[in-house]
Amino acid sequence: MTRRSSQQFGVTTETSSASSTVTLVLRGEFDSSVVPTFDAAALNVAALRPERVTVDLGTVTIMDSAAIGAVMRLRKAVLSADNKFSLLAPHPFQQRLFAITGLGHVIEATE
Amino acid sequence: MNSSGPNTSGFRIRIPPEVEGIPYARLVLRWALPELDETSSALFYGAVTEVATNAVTAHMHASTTRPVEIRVQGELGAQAIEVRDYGTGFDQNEIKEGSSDESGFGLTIARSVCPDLSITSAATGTTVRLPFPELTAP
Repeated sequence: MTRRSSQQFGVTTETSSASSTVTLVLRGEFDSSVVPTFDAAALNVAALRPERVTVDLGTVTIMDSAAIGAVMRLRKAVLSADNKFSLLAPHPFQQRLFAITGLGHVIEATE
Repeated sequence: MNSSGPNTSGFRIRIPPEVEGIPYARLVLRWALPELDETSSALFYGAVTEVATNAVTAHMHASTTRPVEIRVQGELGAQAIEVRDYGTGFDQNEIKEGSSDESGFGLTIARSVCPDLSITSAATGTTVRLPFPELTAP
């Protein structure tokens, strides 16, 4: 069963200099109210121009279409700069949401 | 945000027409309603979030500061959540589900998660009803 307490959204950025990979580790409830927080972190990461950007949704407990849209905007920015993007979405609800929106192929894809 | 209840016959939450109010409504609903497994909870309250976001957007487009209402109705075990906005309504035939528009995606998600979702819309606003998921025996 799920916890009923509020799970505040947060973003942690992890940088691996050896592989020039930056990982955005997200946690909590990721909805339209916190998309600006994600966008700000994404902007900072994109400015670093790492070879690969990974978004890790492993500790995200709720998502909505605005959150999916924000992740897809970051993916588009990364790919358009000829860099690589990975999405880790291990929970069944996340995989279903991406599948519903026709974006299931993005999960765990290394491009 | 303020709320009345909860009790077995239902209660109502009013949130300002700002997306920042939605997490607080979600918290109250999760506290008051029967507990779900992780996946069902994430999908159902995600669907409620989509509908509430659309309601907030409707108020913003209508330039009304009136609160969005989220109602829980029905007896324990047979409840539904209704999200009521006081926007200008919309023509359901004009919604392009699954489009790249996030609001289209939102309704697609909500309908996929809650197949029995129903919408009543008029020039005075929109009500979306989402039946609470059936509970499985522990």
